[in-house]
Amino acid sequence: MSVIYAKLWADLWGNKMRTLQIVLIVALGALGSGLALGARNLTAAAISADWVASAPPAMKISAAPPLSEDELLALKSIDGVVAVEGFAERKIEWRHHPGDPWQAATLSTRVDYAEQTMSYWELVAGVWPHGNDFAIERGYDQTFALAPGTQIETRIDERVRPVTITGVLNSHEVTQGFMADPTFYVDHRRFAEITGDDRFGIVAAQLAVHDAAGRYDPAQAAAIDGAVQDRLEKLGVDSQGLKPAPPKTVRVDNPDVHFSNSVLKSVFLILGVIGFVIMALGMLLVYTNVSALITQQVGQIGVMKAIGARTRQIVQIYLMLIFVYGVLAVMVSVPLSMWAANGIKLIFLTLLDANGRGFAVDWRAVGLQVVVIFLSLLLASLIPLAKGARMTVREAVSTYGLGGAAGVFDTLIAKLRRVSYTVLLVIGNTFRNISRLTLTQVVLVGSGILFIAVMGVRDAVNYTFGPVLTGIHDYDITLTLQHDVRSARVAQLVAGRPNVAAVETWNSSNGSARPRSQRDHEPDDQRVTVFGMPLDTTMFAPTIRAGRWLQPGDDQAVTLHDELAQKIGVGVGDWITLRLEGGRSRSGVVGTFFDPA
Amino acid sequence: MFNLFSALRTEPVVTTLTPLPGTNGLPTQGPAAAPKPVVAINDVVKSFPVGGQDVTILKGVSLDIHNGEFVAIVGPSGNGKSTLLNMMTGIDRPSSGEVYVTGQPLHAMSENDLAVWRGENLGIIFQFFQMLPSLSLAQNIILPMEFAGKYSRTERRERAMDLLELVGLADQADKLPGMVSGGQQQRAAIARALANDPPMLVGDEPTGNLDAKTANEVFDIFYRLVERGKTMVMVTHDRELAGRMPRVIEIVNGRIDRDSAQGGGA
Repeated sequence: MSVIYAKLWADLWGNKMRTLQIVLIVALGALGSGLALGARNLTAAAISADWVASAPPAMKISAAPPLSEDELLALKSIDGVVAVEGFAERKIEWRHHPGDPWQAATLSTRVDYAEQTMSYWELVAGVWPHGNDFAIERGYDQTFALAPGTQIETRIDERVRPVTITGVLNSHEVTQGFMADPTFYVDHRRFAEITGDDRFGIVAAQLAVHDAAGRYDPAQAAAIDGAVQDRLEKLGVDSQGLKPAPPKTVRVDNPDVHFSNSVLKSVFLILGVIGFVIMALGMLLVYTNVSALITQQVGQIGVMKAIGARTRQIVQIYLMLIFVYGVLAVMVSVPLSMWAANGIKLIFLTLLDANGRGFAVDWRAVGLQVVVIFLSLLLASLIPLAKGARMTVREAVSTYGLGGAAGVFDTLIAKLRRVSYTVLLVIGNTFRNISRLTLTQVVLVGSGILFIAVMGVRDAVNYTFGPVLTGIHDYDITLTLQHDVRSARVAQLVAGRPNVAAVETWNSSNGSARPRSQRDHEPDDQRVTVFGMPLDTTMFAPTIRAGRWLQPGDDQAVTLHDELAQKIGVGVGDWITLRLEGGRSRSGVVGTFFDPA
Repeated sequence: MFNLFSALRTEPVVTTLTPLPGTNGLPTQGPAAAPKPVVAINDVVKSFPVGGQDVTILKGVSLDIHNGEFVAIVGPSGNGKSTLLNMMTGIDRPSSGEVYVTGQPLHAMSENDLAVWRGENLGIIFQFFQMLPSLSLAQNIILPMEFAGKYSRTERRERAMDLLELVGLADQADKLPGMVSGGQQQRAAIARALANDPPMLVGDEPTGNLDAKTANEVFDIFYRLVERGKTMVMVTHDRELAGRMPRVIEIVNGRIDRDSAQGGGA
């Protein structure tokens, strides 16, 4: 082995702690970027593949009252509607054994499990639901110990029935991350028998929503949706969007993009920013470490020059050292980041109940990490390396005698009188190397800022999704009724149940809204849902952005979600025309509010 | 004491010299000319900035050293001995004046060219040995050969062992410097200085950190090297050792106070 390589090895192995320190700093600095990109790519790829494979519909709406199979099929005649499929679900109660407390669950069904045309439900274990048997959504079988073969009791409309779980399904939309109660599946015939209703309260439709280039065309989607809504209104059917588009639900959306896409983008953007900051701070640490290394080896550099080493050879020696640091950092960083990226992917896939959970390597992230590691090492090493290589033999080996001027700082310190030598020594050592001091402070302050920022975001998110959200929607249970019922009767029924503290009844209706200045209805008028609620409601307290909330004595007054007000182009004091099932009405906008739900 | 000098060049090195400028009364060319000096220092001044002022250490020093000479530079501390030696090695540059060593104008050469030149033409022995602590004694000796690109890999090892044999350390070849005594380190440093078979060796207090017995052993090595045709220049505080050298130059207050070659006596 060349002696130069022997020196390289000796420098690495002889200074194990320093080697470990540099390798870990570089590895962890690059880990952030690799982790952020790797987690994003792996998660997005797995979720997208799983989502597209499930043939998601562009439209998913509720229908009240539910549609018969004929009414459902009739929707296919609307221009732009490619396929329609009906689904039905209702709340039921279940328990493991007689005597156990009843628990809430959802019972779902579709026209025909064997003839699925969209929004595929996938059989994960056991058999498809048939006869009296149920299947259960994946994940809940583990949580509630409801593996195939388990017998339970169900209660529907006060009638208790024994049921056997015979299969596990994955619906791609129902996940434990968003719904605590389990979802059971049953075939449509049985669903109709036990609920007494063979109609479909949920309508999914595939629409011709792509332009010639294959891109999603939201205007086209809105136009088709308008036509569907018009048809349903003519049938006297009220419909609401059911496609998840966090933090709300919409009627139509791009079927090629998973509903969590925007949320995931935000999460990985934050992760990427944090990764970049960690890498930048890591580079400063690498710089200080390599500087320290060169400083420590100044004497050796001088000796090597004294015995004939060219500047190029000195640079080569230390570049080789940097290269080895890089290789070691890659060996630490890449497996760690891929492991962590797969961990994050698994968390999201589990949360979203998506497939593709096997270990995978994102080579783009690996490539980025390798580039980041070697580039950051090289950049961080350039200045100290150039300084070391340029150093003269005299500067490097002189340990005594005259050699150069003392720094201004040391000269000033030397002139101080009546100050303890210990204090002078401390001051001198602390401030002598201003650039090193500055870098150290930048790293410390940067790390502090990052820590505070992360903590701040966490607290802000907790506050937003905690006190703010629960403060606006201050209720625990929402019941959606399929038929109109007298408000007082429902309130009385619910209030009579155990542990119900308060009840409010709200009404809602779908329609469209336009500024009063726009005389006629147009197909692309803004679709709206109008809620009617008690003026003294205690369960809804939105943040008022402009104007005020409704007051007793208000006549023809509305408050608008500020996002809706912006879309329509109106503000407080303006008038809008609402087009609802019952006809048109004019309302004055008295306030706008913020509601993230 | 040591019998293996086969690794060393025995011929005088004057053939490698390039013509010197016609200064200092030196002949410039012609077969009848006197031998050219290995070291030619012309009116060298060296100042250092200290506390905002320039302190002059060498005040117009001129001297010649010829091939095969064994020269001691002596004088009180802080009077410019080491600075003068640094001029000869290219470790320091003169503030004014000229320094030619083995025919090369060190005062005008770049740091990189100086390093290459040193590797080929000069062996430096430091007071504190300056061995690379992470390399064995043999590896320390091989390193200058690798830098200079001289000899094959096998030859480098053989040569390093020959040189260690020369200084009586063959059995310590694979030990790290920290595992041997100061005297042994200095002997290894001498072997390292001879690695590329340079015509000239310089030592800055090479025995200053050794006990008397070891210093004498090291001095004997120097003496035999000079007998074999090497030029040796050595800064020392040791008057007794200096007295054993053929030529003694005494530096006092930045000037040559006495040069035995100029009839100053030793």
